[in-house]
Amino acid sequence: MEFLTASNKKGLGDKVELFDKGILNAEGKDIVVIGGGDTAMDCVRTSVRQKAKSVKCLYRRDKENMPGSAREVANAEEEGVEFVWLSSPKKFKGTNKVENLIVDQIQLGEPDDSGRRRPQIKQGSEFEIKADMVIKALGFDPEDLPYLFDAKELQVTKWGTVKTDFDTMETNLKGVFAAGDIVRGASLVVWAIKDGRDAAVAMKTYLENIKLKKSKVA
Amino acid sequence: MTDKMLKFVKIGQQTPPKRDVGDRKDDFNEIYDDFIKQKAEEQSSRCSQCGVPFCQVHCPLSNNIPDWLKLTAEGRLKEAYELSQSTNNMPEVCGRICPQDRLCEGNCVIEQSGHGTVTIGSMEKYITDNAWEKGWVKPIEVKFEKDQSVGVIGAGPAGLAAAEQLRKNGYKITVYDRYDRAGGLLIYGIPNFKLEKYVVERRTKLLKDGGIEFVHNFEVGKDATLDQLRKKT
Ligand SMILES: Cc1cc2nc3c(=O)[nH]c(=O)nc-3n(C[C@H](O)[C@H](O)[C@H](O)COP(=O)(O)OP(=O)(O)OC[C@H]3O[C@@H](n4cnc5c(N)ncnc54)[C@H](O)[C@@H]3O)c2cc1C
Ligand code: SF4
Repeated sequence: MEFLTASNKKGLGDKVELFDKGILNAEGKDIVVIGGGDTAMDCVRTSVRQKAKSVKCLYRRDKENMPGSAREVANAEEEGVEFVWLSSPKKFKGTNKVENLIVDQIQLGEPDDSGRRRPQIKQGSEFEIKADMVIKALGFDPEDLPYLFDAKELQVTKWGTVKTDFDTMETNLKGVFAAGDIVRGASLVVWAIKDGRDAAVAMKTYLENIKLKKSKVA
Repeated sequence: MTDKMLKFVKIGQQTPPKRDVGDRKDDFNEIYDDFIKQKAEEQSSRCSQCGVPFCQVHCPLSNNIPDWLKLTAEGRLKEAYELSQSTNNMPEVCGRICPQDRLCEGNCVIEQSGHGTVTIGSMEKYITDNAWEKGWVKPIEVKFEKDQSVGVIGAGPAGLAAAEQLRKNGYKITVYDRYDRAGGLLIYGIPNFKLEKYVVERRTKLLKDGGIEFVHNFEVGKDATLDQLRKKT
């Protein structure tokens, strides 16, 4: 994620120290990205554009079982990204910095509760991949809002997302509504827009009701 | 004018041309070129105008897809834009970056019958990009501003959509964001080759011109607590 933010900031003409020092810059390096979602696709394709020497994408399932959009995988393949299906990182090797990645091969076992086939490590199948930089693109956790906002009473779910009323999107704090990724976990722009619109409708009702109450009192 | 539609039998599917791979890798710009008007009309006319449009059912915003496709096929682009923007605050953004193969396009009946889906995302992008070009996209004009105010924390797509909808209803809106630019992950997460930044920035400017106030570099929790914001009027 920092990798993508840095790249976007550079694109906007900002100064990014970690990028200029080369830490978040893929230029001339052998890059390995771990993960099979849309964020992973964004990382591999950003690396290609930063002129990486080679770009590989490791994913523990196969192409058919990828969570990411097929269109984005096709775009990445066209751009020269090499996919290493059915593989999972085991450990890093190198002095001072990563030089190689040890990888286990995977086979798909019985389907799990969600109906997807469970990846299992093939014993003794490990091999090495050369890597100057490894990027993990495996999703992220929501921030701890009750703590950050200094609002201990704000209710969150066990995943750390903000709890809202399904109909009104109001949180347990009166007049405070929530929408988008902070309610759903990492999701999509179109769902964020949908939530924002729904929240707006509920907020309007809320505001009209306080007005009514006030005018009754007066 | 039914003869305008249902052309999927005769007209094959075409997406806007993708830029050459060699070129693409050299910069961070978007990889799809624009449709030209004639192509857009032609591609829209492939829609079969289903009685129960599954594309619309599977669009989170329930966009009125068959209707705006029909208007586009008939060359009524301004009406197509009006309709499209009535359910979506950023049609040109969704048209670019929705995973259409899992949403609208994945459920298109023509796709299911093996003819290749109507290219809904590209059409949605075309309709609103064209509207921007023609100057049809106008800032909100509030006739009677209400005395009630709303604070929005976060200028990502969720916050911006809520802010815009409430502003249309005349409320005073202030959007707080911890970063120096509005847009959230649209700016700092999603790479340029999927969504160029000017697309987001012209939206933000439009909201500012519509009277929404933005306070940047303001982090709730650090610069003010939630409680302090709630007490503000
Ligand atoms: C790399 C990447 C690629 C993606 N690609 C796609 C894609 O192709 N298609 C798609 O549909 N979705 C994509 N997404 C997901 C999409 O970006 C998000 O689902 C969407 O942006 C969520 O919108 P939001 O408004 O809920 O949150 P955000 O966009 O995260 O916005 C939240 C805003 O709140 C601000 N904020 C947070 N805390 C505070 C605070 N305490 N005080 C003040 N401001 C605060 C932040 O600065 C930010 O601007 C991608 C995400 C990533 C990371
Ligand atoms: S691309 Fe447009 S029509 Fe399709 S799901 Fe996204 S918002 Fe809806």
